[in-house]
Amino acid sequence: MTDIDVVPTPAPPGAAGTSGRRKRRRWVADLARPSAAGAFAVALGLVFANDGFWLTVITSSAILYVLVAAYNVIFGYAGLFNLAHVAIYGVGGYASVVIETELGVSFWVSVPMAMGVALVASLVVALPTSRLGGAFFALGTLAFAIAATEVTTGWDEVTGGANGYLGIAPPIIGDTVLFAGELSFYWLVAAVAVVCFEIFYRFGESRVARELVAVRESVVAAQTVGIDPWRRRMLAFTISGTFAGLAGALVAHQMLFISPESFSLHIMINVLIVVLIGGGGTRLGPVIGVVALVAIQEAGEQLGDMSNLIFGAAIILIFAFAPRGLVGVGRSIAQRLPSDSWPRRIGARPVPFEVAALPESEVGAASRRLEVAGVDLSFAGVTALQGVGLAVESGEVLGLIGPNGAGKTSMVNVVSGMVRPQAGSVRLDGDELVGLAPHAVARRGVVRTFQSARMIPEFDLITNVVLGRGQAARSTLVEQMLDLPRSRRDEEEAYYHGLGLLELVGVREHAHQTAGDLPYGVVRRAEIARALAGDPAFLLLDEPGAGLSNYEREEIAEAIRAAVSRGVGCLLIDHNVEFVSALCARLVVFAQGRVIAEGASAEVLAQSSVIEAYLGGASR
Amino acid sequence: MNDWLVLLVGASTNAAIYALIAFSLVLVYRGSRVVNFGVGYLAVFGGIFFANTAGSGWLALLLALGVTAALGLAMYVLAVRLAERAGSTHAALAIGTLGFGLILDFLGGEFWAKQGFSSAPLVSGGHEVGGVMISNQRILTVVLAVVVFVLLRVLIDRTMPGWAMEAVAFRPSTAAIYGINPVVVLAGVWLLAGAIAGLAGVLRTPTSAVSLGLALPLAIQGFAAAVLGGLGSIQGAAIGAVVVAFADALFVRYVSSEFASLFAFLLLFVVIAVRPQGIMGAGREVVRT
Repeated sequence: MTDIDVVPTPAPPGAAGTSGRRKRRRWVADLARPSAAGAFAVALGLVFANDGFWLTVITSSAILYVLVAAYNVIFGYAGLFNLAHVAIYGVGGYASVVIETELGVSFWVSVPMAMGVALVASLVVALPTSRLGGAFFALGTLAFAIAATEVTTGWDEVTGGANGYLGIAPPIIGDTVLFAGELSFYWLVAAVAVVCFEIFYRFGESRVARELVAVRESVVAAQTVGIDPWRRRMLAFTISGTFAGLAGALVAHQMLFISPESFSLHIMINVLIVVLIGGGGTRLGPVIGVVALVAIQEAGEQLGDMSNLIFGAAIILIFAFAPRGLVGVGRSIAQRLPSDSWPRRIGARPVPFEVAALPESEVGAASRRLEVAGVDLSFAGVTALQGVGLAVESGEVLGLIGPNGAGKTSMVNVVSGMVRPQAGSVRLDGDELVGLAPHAVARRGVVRTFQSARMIPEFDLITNVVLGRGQAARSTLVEQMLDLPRSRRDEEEAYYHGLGLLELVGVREHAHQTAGDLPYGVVRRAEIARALAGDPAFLLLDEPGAGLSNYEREEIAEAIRAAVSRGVGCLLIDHNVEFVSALCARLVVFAQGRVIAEGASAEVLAQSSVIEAYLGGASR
Repeated sequence: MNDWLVLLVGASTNAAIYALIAFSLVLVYRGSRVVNFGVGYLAVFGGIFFANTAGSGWLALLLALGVTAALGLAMYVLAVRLAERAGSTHAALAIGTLGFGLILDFLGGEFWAKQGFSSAPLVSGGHEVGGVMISNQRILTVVLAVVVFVLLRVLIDRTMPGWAMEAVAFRPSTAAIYGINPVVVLAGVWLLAGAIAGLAGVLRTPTSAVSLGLALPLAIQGFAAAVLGGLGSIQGAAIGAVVVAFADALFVRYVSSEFASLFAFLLLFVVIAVRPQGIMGAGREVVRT
């Protein structure tokens, strides 16, 4: 854990020099990694230069790495059990050779085109299936894969059918023909694999990968901070499809003959096994998995066709004892410590930084208004809300109280877009929010928290908070995926901003600990920090004090005051009347889905109808 | 007319086999929320065992069912239970069942050759209807599938073990509060599912050869049937199996034999995309956002 003094002043001039040195170190690391990967590939090539068998093995392994790394994006990071991946690989393979033949273009032109075709095919799979749950998604993509195989087999005028596609021309550079089995083709494939390794390595640390994991782990948590799960899944399909197409085009020009068998379900099973053995959702998993696969296959050959036994046993043992793959095993041994990835990426800043978590510029900005009117909500005949309305202004805390079952959480669900009311409106500065998806509501600046915190348990606190800072990023998607300078500046900004927010809610000492390992009170407070990370206009806090100690509740009250003093408006639900009345000048009281009282706190709490609603009596 | 009858007979036999596989899948999915990718291996293992044991008679049938039931249980313990305890996701569990299937594939190849096996029919002879000979074996296949269907309905709707299965399917932790041991119930479910998958393989052996290579195609037809039926109900799976078998037969007969099973999977893809809860109505946990 980094120990940083928080001083509410801007960084002194010395910061620039330190940051310059840090950037230089980072730059060296960025060059060292691909150089090492390249050196490894060259060494392999030189060692096996005269050994035809092993040259073929390493060439195939390099292509397999590209295919597997692409699958790692969709299955590992995004958690989508996509069984059409190898079908897309096949689309890339067939597209490259058919384009070459039909259009008379060279390998170098046909490969990018084949990647484009594979991308489109991948989106064809994605569009109807990406909203489906696990088993249905798997079977839907499986159906696509089988239909694709059938089409390839049956459409023999173009694909050659079951007999396969013959007469594929090897790639040519200048006068050199790159034949598979010769070193020249290996150099081509190795270069592609090294570039892909660097791309996927950068991707693995990127904001995009983090958001994919967030969607995988908790759709609700992701939506709450403004991440659109559907678009993220489409992106995963785009990336994995494009690179699967690249791998397919390469394998077609390695084999110089392809048939539906080259892209069968058995290959899909191999790819799955490789990702699982190596460890899904990690950067080194695909590399380790490919090496393990080669080892298993060779061992299986030596022992006489036992690869299925070894595969099957490996799958079962891995799930039983190492569900995160070999990388996970290594990591759990090496990393019993708090995660260190942020200080390593950003560099521990040894100078004070500004607490500036909340934007001062918002202060005095035009006052904003969140207004709910005439909302009716019922679930299968059970009425939750009946014609309720309320309004919150920037810079105020409106308390919402009421007995259990009064409809308080339903109100938050309606405002945040998680349920759609049968009637009524929710307007932010006059703009209708009803009908928007939860992530869209969050992006407009209305962010909620939950009665029981919804954090991504496998992320540390700071990463959870950074997740909420997506809207502030100025880098483009490609910059983010490749971790280019502008994206790094965004990440650095989000990181320090997040630390400031964790300080604000009093849990900064836990910033680098995994959310799943921390006590409830700490996580609850970090959730408020995450909600604030996107500079929201309005916060909806659903019982933020529930289950906390008096001390922790006071920290939360302080955080709410600090946010409100900077112009955030807040709707606060809580049962603790003392807590609510200390924070809120105004209160709204719900009972049985209706507003029964509204006004200044002291007056509302004195009303007999409110007392009855809480203690039972007339309103029953 | 004869053509139609031949098509009807062939499709009905296929429907019976697909339905049995789909029943096995549905039982397991309801109980463990796992799609059993190893179901095809259970079926072909049963079929190959049957073809090579005790003269392929009724005794061999019972032995084969016993073996596949035991394999189903082993699959639950090794591929599902252990992985669940380690915190694997349902997708991972599905791959675990595939891993178990690969081991069966290896064992099948070790015990017997990697080739197609067929056997003499369990019941010989046949009936002539409208100039078409319908073998008694085919009739037996359809009858047994119907019997299994009825027995499963009775089990689920009318008996204590069936209600325990329902309770565990709803939520294992809740079932446990009522004194049901979910692990015991699920072990029973997997035993039963193994035997039913094995029956599908056994019944297929006399009408067409069964080989290890048939495992995945057979499983996939079963998936298609089960998903068309919503992956949650026995009736749905039965109807799904009939739809898949007849769609296949009609497509091959009237459109194209080149794209043999394309139609069933296009249908499956479309159904999943348009109506993921299946043709049978309300499904659970289908859509995630």
